[in-house]
Order: sequence, then structure tokens, then C-alpha cells
Amino acid sequence: MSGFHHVEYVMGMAVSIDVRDDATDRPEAEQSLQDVLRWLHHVDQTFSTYIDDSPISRLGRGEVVLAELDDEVRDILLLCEELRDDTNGAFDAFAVPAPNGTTLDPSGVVKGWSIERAAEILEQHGHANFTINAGGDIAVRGRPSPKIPWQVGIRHPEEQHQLATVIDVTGPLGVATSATYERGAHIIDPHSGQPTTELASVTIVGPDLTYADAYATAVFVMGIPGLDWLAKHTGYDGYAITHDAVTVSTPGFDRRRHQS
Amino acid sequence: MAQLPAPPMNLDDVHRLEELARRRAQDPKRPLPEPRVAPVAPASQSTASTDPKQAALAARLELLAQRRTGSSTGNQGSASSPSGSAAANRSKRRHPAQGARAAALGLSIVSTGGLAALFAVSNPSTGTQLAAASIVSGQTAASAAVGSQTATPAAASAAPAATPQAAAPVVGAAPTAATPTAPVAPTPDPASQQVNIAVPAPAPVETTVQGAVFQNKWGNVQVEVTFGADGSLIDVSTLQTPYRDGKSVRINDYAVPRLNSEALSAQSANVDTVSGATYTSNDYRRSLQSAIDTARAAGVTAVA
Repeated sequence: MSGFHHVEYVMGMAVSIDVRDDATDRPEAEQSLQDVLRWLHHVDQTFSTYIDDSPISRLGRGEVVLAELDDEVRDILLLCEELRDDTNGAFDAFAVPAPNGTTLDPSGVVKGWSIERAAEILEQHGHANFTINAGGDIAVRGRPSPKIPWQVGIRHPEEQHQLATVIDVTGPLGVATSATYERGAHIIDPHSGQPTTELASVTIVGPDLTYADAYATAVFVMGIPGLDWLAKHTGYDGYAITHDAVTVSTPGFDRRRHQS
Repeated sequence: MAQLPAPPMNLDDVHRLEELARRRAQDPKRPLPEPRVAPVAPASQSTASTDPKQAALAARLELLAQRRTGSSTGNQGSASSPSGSAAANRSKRRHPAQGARAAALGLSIVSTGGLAALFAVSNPSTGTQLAAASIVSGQTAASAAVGSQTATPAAASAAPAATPQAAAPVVGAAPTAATPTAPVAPTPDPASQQVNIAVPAPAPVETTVQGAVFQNKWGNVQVEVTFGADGSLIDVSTLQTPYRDGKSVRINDYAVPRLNSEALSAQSANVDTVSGATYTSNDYRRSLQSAIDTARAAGVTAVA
């Protein structure tokens, strides 16, 4: 068996698991997959703000206190606070109108974090070469085949089936994109009522998808100066596309671009 | 990782100070609320150093509870909130980080929106092709995550006017060395700010041009742009910002190409996977296999 591929619909999105390890036998592959899927559905049940009786929804309504919930809820909220400080409030899980009617929504960090953890689960099962793509945010490990890097396309912000660029990636690495595409809403400044950003999309690459995902959101809010902010985070690089189709990228990102 | 140029302005300090000031202004005397939640037993994943962080987290949860119940008038902090009944909604606008966030956005628009327009000018033949984005109200992952307001139908209907505004006047100014004659927008309008930047035609020597002063609710903003002999953009300085003067960023340390010159088809590219933000659930479901794993290498066996 030359690996396996599976797409699971969970957490409101498609999660694509693509394992390329050569010597994967079927029972082990199925066990790996089941463990990952169990984890992802557990995360969904715990952190979904679309589920009214999820722990995070109950916490947001004050029906439970933090100490009554699993440690991972506290860990996520602490991570949110860390990111809020680091991003000067550009990332704030406590200021988000959530689908459940509360203003507590850590979804912006749960996705990257849970996929990074899912990658660790696969690694614990001995897998070394795979990608997990959760709605466009990707945890990368190893290579698709010896001597060849993964080729990761960055979606064109206005053409769904086109790519803005392609990067060559060898794991471990996270690739995350924040965007408002043509069918999405603009993010608007609540004070002015005007669109708050000229950025159409921001892609961040870095060693941990948890942070790459959060930084993508933060830089999206900050605009192009956010790439300067990003510079203090060693190992993380960014690529921004404006609505005027100008791209701005850090030198480290450009070094990853695929040379065809 | 390559060394990036110094930030054009120290957003860290600015925003921390601003946030502190806002908190004080809203609530000069009110102490931090006592944590209502019980101390959490140390978990294996946490370290002893998280104790202050946990206290801070507990305090934020307490604030959340106060907003929810409307039991606190202190954190609303303004007579402009006419009642407590909609405190949960309004509190978002009152969040201390809101000002910092808005300021960051304002700064980013001011300092970079002009860049986008200028680059559009530097390549006028393609300047407007991709400038307009259709605007549809709806929730996206990004908007939910950052806590900014999703465009309401009313706001969305106003936004399309701003988009062409960003591109058209600037492109029109390209053939001549325009002077900043466009009136300064009386209200914060990110798009109109771009209009006020003068753009020279390619000159034989370096050319430095000052943009008009743009006034927003945080103060005045003015940029200065330097073009090289070939008309390329060399440097952008902020002459005035609401916070700090004279900082600049050497933008030619970044790669700043036009996107459409390098866009390629996902169908023809031999890519393993694609990074891109998702739509809402149903939208994404429809485009599931086509958007993700396009052109994935053949021969992979599905397990389930």
C-alpha cells in the first residue's frame, strides 16, 4: 500500500488527509485514520460555536465555568490570550460575535491547533510524509516522494480555480491562508462602516500551523504592515495579495516559490 | 529567515499604549474584577508560569459574563449606550482592543492603500483588471475569527462605490505628474485617501513626492513616496501619522509583483494541495474536491 487519502467533512469544512508513506499497511493506516477522525470530531463537539450545547457555547453563556471543562478548553483560551497580546488585539477570541449568540469564539485558533495536533497523531502512528488540508490550512510533513518537495498552491483570491503562486514545501511546516474572496464579506471597520483592508488574502508559512493560522488572521487585519510585524516571529513568512492584485511577500516566502 | 526592514512604526508600542489609555479612559477607577472561576488545577500541559495568564483569562471570562448579563455599567463606560438590553452586541464596539484594532487598520490602509494604488499606476495597462471585487454579504472564516463586523446589507451596498474609487482616479492621474488636488475626505474613507497621492511619470532621476494630508479620526496622515529613475517605487515614508513621524519602510526589500503576471491555472499546475480560505460550510461543500487537492498525484488509495 502506497499511502492513503481521505476527505472528512468535520468542523464545518472539508479536511483532506493525504498520506504518502510507502510502507503503510492497511490495518495501521485505518487505525491512524480513525484516531485522527475521532480527534477532529471531538474538537468539533467541544469547540463548535454552531452547536448550542458544546462546552464552548455553554462557557460563553456562563452556564459552566472554565474549571468544569476539559483542560484543552483552558489551553485554547490561554492560547487565544497569548495571541491577543502578541497581535495587539488584532486577534481576539473575546470580541467575536459567535453563531451561538455569545461573544466568545476561539474558532480562529482552534482550526490550526487541531490540525497541528492531528498531524502529531499521524506521526505517533509512524507516518512521516503527509499533508492534512483543513479548508485550505495545511499541516505538512516530510515529502510526497523522496527528493521531491510538496508543491502547495496558493489560491488566487478572485479565481477559484487559479493559483496565485506555488511554493515548494518540505515538512514540518504549516501553510495557512486568511481571505475574503469574491463571495465573502468584506471585513469592515466597525467605527467607519468602511471596508477595513485592501488585502484580498494573506498566506503565512511557518513551523507550526497553530500560529501560522492565527498570524494569517492577524496580518489580514493589520494589512501589509502586518508583514513587518510578522518579521519578529522567527521562521514565519508571509504573502499578501491586495484587492488591486498587487502581491507583497517576505524574502523567506519568495525563496520557497516553485521554480518551474 | 531574512532580515526584514524595521516596521514603519512601532505598532506594538502604539497599540499597547492606546489600549491602556482606552481602558483608563473608559474605566479610570474600576479595578479588575475578581475572578469568579475557581483556580484550575495544574494540568500536565501547562506550566507553573501560566498562573498569571490564567488569572488574566479568568478576568476576561468575568468581563464576558458581565457584558452578557449587563450587570456592569463600568465596562460600557459611556453615556452613548442608551440601555443595557443590547449590551452584548454593543460591548463589542466597546472592547478595549477595538480601538487598537481599528487604529491598526487605519494605519495599514493609510500606509499601504496608497502603495497598492501606486503600483497600479506603475503598471497602468493592467491596473484595473483585478481591482474590483464583488461584494456579497456573508460570514467568512476570516471575519468571524478577527471579530470585525461582517458587512450588513446596508454596509455592503455602500462598499462597491469605494472599490472603483480606489483604482480609477489614480490610474487616470498616471499620464501626468498630478498634484494632490483631490479634496481630503471629510470622513475616514480608505479608498479616497489613495486619490490624494501624486504620482509622477517615470523621471530621469529619483523623484520624491509628498501626498496630501489625509485626516482620519486618529489624526493626520501624510506619506512621501520616492521613485527611482525608471519610475519604480523606491521608498515610502510616513511624514505624519497620528502616532509618530518620520518612520519609513524600504519597500523594495519586499517582492512586489503584479499578481496577474504570475497567476497560473490550478488545473494545469502539478500541485499537491491548495491553501486558501474557505467559504461558509455549504459553499465549501460544493467546491470540495475541486478546490482542494486539485491535480493531486495519481495512485493514492482511499481507505474509507
